[in-house]
Amino acid sequence: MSSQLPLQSATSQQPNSSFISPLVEVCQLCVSFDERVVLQDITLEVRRGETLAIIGESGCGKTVLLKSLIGLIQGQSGTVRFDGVDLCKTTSAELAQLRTRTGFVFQGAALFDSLTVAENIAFPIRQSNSNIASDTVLCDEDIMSLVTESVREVGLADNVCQRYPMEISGGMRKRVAIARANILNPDLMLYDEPTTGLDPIASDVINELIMQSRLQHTVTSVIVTHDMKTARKVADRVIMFHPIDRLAGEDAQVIYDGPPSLLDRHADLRITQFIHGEAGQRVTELSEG
Amino acid sequence: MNSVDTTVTPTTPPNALRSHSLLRNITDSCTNFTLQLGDLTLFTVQILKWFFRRKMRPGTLVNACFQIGVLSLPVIALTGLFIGMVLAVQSHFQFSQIGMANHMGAVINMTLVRELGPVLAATMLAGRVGSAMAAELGTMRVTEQIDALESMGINPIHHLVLPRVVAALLLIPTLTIMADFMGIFGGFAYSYLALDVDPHLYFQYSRDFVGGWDLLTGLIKSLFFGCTIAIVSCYYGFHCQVGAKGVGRAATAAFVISFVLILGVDLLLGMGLDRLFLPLQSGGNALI
Repeated sequence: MSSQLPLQSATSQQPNSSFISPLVEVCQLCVSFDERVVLQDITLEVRRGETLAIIGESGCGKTVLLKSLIGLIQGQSGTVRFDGVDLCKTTSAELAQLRTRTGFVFQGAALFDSLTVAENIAFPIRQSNSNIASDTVLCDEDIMSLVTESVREVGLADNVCQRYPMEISGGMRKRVAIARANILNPDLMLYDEPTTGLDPIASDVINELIMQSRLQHTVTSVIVTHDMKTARKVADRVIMFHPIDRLAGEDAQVIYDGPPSLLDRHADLRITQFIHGEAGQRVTELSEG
Repeated sequence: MNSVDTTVTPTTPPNALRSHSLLRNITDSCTNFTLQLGDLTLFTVQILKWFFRRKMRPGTLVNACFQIGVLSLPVIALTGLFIGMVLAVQSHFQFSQIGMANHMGAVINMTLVRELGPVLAATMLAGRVGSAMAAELGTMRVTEQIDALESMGINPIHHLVLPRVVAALLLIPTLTIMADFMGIFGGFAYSYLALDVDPHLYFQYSRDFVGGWDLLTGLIKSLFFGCTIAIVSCYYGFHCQVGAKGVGRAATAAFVISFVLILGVDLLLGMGLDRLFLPLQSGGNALI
């Protein structure tokens, strides 16, 4: 299922990337809620250092897949391996340890509203402090200087630190969420619709931050998005999902896996309609139920 | 449209259909109740597991204690005070008719320390704190804050639920004592100032009838109530459905189920404790 096409930009700079095992491997994953199947036989891999964009219509299971990658949602069958470790076979302590190597930017930012911006960003550090030996624990001053540094990296002013999430705009919240997710320099960054609900400029700021974070340290990123501009700008590879209930016969749910540059040349009507944002016959289909 | 349907279908009598539907509803309700009970039990087991597995961060416990204990004090004190006074009004009306107005201190204080103090403190706690806990956790669930915690490798039961349960368990006896004290004070003040009851006799009869065991019974009950409120409220908040409606439902369910369970647990403990500790009760020292 995974593409054999050469990767572009940052990924191609990595030596022998084709011989290195993928960071995340998904094999025949099926996820359903009650009787509604959302993901059916999904097989894909995310290579180390690459930025993978997952696109597709609303309700096709993109976010479910993203959450499955770190075990937030358990599939009914199939396996998800993170750095060679099968998430279904790990203990809760091992899973928690693996998750500290990931950063997750949620669609609504999911900042803790009882904490200030600075406390939100410092939260993962303080939690990891409580799990490590006392001689390596960071003191409050060090934590605050790291927080200030990361706030500046995402283009926010220092005075934002003492404000609560409800007191800042949606774009700023997204940037704080990126700063929080990046604070421990994770191996894997997961972005759930990072530009949804933002104006074009704020969206591009987020795109730039995603690209900037991979320049600062080697990070593998998976981005779930509807925004084709984001997918084209930041992704090395694009995977497109199609909703199960709209699939014909035995069609696979993954209808595209390749570089973003080839999306435009694809003949599949489902893909061309999506990337150009054309409803086609959809209005008629929806009215007919 | 006008074609005649020639197929013969066996007709089911309407009464049978109604019974079938009723039976299905009962079965569904029983299944849901059993599933929810099982889920609640597993949730409680998880809380216990995390209590023994890992120490809580002091900050989270202190914050929960402040929210549950300190902020509940005024409302619980006020409730206790008024209940004491209401009991004095009602008892005086009854007791004065049989010339035993001086005995009402025993009835008021016994009622307060054994029943009304713990039950009212728990009810106020369920209303003020339980609903708030469910709404807060529910909102965190809906806005993916609980998922965010999990994505950082933090167990949400350990981080969010355990401090609330421990704080409720630690502080409800204190709140109950406050409700008892304010009730006793309110009952006495109203009896003495408004009803002209002899203060010496009021406390003399109280001392004869109300013992240390009565107070202890109330405090034991309060521990069970506190545990019930915290677990039920966190459970409903934790398993909140999406949207504002889901959060509202979780908050309502947290209070209603906690209240019903408080009454049920009160009845069971009322029956059980006296039977279990009868020898201790008869030998208990007079407290008041």
